[in-house]
Amino acid sequence: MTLEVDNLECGYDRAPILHRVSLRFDPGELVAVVGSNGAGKTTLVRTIAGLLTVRSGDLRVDGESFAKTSPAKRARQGIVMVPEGRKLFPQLSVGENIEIGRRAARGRTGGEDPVTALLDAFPVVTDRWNQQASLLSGGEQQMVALTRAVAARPRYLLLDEPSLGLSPLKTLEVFRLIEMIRESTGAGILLVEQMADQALKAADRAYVLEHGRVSMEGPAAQVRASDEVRRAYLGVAG
Amino acid sequence: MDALVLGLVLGGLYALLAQSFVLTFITTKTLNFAVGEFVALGAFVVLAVASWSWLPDIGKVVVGLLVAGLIGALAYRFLVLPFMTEGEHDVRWLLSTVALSFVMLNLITNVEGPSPQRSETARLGGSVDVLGAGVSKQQLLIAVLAVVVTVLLVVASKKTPAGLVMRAVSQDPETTSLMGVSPRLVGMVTYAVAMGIAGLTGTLYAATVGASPVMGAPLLVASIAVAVVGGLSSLWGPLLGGALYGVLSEFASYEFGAIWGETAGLLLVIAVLVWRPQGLLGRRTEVKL
Amino acid sequence: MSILDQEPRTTPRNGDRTSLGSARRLSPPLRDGLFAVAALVIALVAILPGRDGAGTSISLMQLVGSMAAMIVAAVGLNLLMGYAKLVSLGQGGFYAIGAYASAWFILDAGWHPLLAIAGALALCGAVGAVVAVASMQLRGPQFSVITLVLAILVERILNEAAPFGRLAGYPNHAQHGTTGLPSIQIFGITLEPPMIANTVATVMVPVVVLTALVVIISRNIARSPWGSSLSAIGESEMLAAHLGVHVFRRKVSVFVLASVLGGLGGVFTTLTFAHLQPETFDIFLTITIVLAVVFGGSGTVLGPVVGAVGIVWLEQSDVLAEVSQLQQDHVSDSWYLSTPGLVGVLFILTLFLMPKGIVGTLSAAVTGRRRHAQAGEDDGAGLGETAGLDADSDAVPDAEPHAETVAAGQEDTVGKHLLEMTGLGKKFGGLQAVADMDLSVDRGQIHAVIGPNGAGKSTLANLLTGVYRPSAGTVVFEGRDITGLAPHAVARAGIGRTFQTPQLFGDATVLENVLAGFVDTGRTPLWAAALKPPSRYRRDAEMRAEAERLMRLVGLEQFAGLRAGELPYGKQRALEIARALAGEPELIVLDEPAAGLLATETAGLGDLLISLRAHGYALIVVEHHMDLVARIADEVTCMDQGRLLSRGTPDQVLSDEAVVAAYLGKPMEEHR
Repeated sequence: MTLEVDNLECGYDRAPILHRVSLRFDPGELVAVVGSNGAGKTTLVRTIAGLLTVRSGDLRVDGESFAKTSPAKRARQGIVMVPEGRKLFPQLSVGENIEIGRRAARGRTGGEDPVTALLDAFPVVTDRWNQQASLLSGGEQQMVALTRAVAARPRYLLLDEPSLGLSPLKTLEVFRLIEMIRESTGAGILLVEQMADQALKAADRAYVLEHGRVSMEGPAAQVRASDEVRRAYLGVAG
Repeated sequence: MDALVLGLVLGGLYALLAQSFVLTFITTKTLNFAVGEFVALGAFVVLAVASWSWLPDIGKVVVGLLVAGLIGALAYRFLVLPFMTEGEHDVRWLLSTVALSFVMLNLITNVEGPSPQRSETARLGGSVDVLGAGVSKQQLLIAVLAVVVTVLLVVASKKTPAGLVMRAVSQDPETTSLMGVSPRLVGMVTYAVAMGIAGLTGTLYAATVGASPVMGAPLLVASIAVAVVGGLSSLWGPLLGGALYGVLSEFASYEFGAIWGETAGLLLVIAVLVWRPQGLLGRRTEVKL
Repeated sequence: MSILDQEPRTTPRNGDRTSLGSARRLSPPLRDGLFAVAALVIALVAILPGRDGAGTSISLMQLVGSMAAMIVAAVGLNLLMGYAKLVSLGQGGFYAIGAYASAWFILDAGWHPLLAIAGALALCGAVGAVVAVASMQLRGPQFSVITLVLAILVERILNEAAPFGRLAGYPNHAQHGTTGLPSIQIFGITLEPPMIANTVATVMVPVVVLTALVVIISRNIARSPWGSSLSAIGESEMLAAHLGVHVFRRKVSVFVLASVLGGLGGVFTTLTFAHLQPETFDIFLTITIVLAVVFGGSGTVLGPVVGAVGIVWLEQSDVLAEVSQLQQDHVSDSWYLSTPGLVGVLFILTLFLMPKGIVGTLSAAVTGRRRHAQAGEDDGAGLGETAGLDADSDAVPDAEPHAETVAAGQEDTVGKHLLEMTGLGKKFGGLQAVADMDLSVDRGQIHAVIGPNGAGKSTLANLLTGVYRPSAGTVVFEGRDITGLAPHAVARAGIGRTFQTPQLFGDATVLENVLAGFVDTGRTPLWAAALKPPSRYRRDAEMRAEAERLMRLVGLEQFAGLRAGELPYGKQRALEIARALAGEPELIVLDEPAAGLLATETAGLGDLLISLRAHGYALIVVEHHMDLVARIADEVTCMDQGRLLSRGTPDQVLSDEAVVAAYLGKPMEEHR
């Protein structure tokens, strides 16, 4: 059931961003990928989601490659991404946004609706159900974006910088929601973050990306305690 | 007063076809310049099945609609989509649909001959008195249909799952694909519906002027103008644009002669563009950096 | 103050010759002269068969006349469509206006022919100006739609206008008693159209000579900074503005120019055929002109010429009729395509198979071969190895020690900085992206701006170069208030910029890209670009010499002839910097210059920026790469949530706990 990234090389046009990046995660795990900007975190996640093509290397689930399937197909197979900046549909309401998420789950429904549990725990989403998404605050948008992703019944959830633009308090709430998602859906979560500290606290394992390469990996607590992380962000001067 | 009524009715015809432009533009950000030929296509398909007496008139219209829709979807898949790969500046798809219009016009002319042919299908004979003006029933039917189709589209886009998906694609195709929906498929369906509307216009219009290969051409300019005036990003746009354009050009024709009718229309378009480039009901899109 | 003040080198280095092509090149005036002569010779040879006025030459002369008209219209459209990427479907309309207006002025208004022609062209220009102003705010497809509407409407008006005789043509028996325009007389010479046997078609001479002149002038324009500005607009209007181009004015100008040339094509038709039928000016005509440009090669000088000749020949010859007959014989009696349909298919095939057109595809193949030769010379040196470090180079003096530079870079007039930003803020709807930002920088100083993602750094850079108007605050540069100025005005004031991803002309050479950075791109007047007076040649030579010096500075002199799109990423960055330097800025804003660079390239970048500082440039560098910031910055500003978080030397800021917290997201203790 593992999602594997195997020696991935990819990038835009002539700029190769990722160099032989390998990682893996299983359903139920929360794995963090941290690193400063330009390290390639977003490129990594976009490639797994299918928005960027693989130059060399492979992407596999359960041993089967999915490097050539379209993003829509990957979503229908349970590989769901919440993009950087949330990317809610601005003119659709909160409820409609979540409804779109359900499209990816067509054919995989059955059993309890995972969205209900989230809505119960975070009433703010229900409160805003009929409001246009563009009118919500950043934190509220993030809640909705995560709910939308859960509606898609992900087996593997890719989160691209959920804390972006949020105050430390809001970020805490969002991480609470992420923890809840992990528990209730059993999905594997790949959490890409610039806010390394919070991400590493929440995660089981972690990878540190530097200049497109994995410079460190291991149990999250270990990574968090190391100097490696601080150096990766702020250079030796820190 | 006559001019007002006639203008509104005329505007209805343009509005119906303009809806075809607006629909594809909203969802795929493209326009099909061959729309005039799809109008003719609808008319000729109906003519071809006119002898199927077991099929009621409305069935024949549906056949015309379906054929136009199918070919529309294929046109999107093979002549528009491959030419959109280079981002915003890529306008090859535009040239491609213009070329398509040439090919279709030429083919239809060679198959059917250039002269108009009478079409009896779905024909409402006679005229009716509207506020003192004599309006042909067929024209009135088309104008009413324009309103009906618009309302249906608006309702469908707000209340049906398919409409929801189309709205999502129009706002953010990339994120829609992340939600398990293929924007390519949505585009094809949109084109099918849009060209179906064009074909529908053709089947009804043919009953008025007869089916000829060039029947769509005079409608093309006017409906583009109507779509632009109303706002290419608004489903209600064609109705407002149609009303304004229709009434204005009728008045101008009435007072100053036919040429001025058309010129007045063009001046209206230019005026709207200078004052409000996104159209009267359109929304200004953000400039992304 | 800038490197451009250096004494020019007197002894050429070994590398020079290979970088500019293997053969010793002809001087520009000579090359231009040869082209002009060739164009005129070809033009005159084309009408040679008609010199005796024999009956057999009439149709050939008419064909040449048609080709000349199409060439001129296509050349005009190419400037619009091929360079500035404004797809106008209305060229046919201007063609029609030119044809009918000139005919009417001559026949019904009784004007002198030269006045009539000038009047017709002026009318085209005026209509073009109106349409351009009305539609310039529209994006791609909507713009094209409006131009199409124009063309169709012109056709309809002409079809139905009584003064023009409707379908009977202009002139016609009913209104004028004749179906042919009278031959025009200029300076005592009668210019006969190719109509009657044994009359020499003298009108062909001015027609082909003018056509040749138009082609020559279009080549001048394409190769001038004015032409570069069109390519810049075609690539990205934002980029063009940063190169000092007043985008709106330039777009309207090129549209008017294209309209006039379209009208000239119509005038040639009138002169050649002396009779106008409205059906010939239909939408098919406007599409044919577009096809000529696309088929021949849009964005090239000879493309429209080749395309126009090819298309006109194709339409007049029997080839298409034969293909159509073939279908009727072998496929079906009714399901076949004749000329218009075949042209449509040809169009689609060209878009699929030969999107660059004939000339474009050929020239790409030729440069491809040249590229192979060049690639062999590439020793893999990136920014790291040549930028500012070349021992031979005396274009770059040794960088002064850091402390001295800092002292020297202090305020040049007491109390005034080169750039002073006070209280700058920007709101997007409800979102406050930047608030209350102060920043100042002096000559010979590097000021780095850092901050986590979403902190507002890029917004700040955009506010500085005029991409956004500030909601609050002021920006003063060299004592002048530049708050809220548009990007082209900011560029002209002396602020240059590089972008997060290099915005280059991928298909142009490295040299051409650097040349685009000069102020001439925005400043050269059209007449100078078109007529190329000696001052233009002098300036071209100056610019070329400067460009070469700049390429040496950034380590690109070996790649001058290479396509920019083929360069490795690090070199693309270097090129962008060289282009920014060409604009003679006092201050350069660099937006994440190290993004995507390898370690060696980043080191080279640092060396380059340090040497620029030594030359007295002020640099504002938005960056994430902390090692680089620590190494080169004199002052560092850290932003968070749109505001100033910390400021000081690199050591101070990078060890500030608040900065660490902003980046790593350590929560405040109170919230636990």
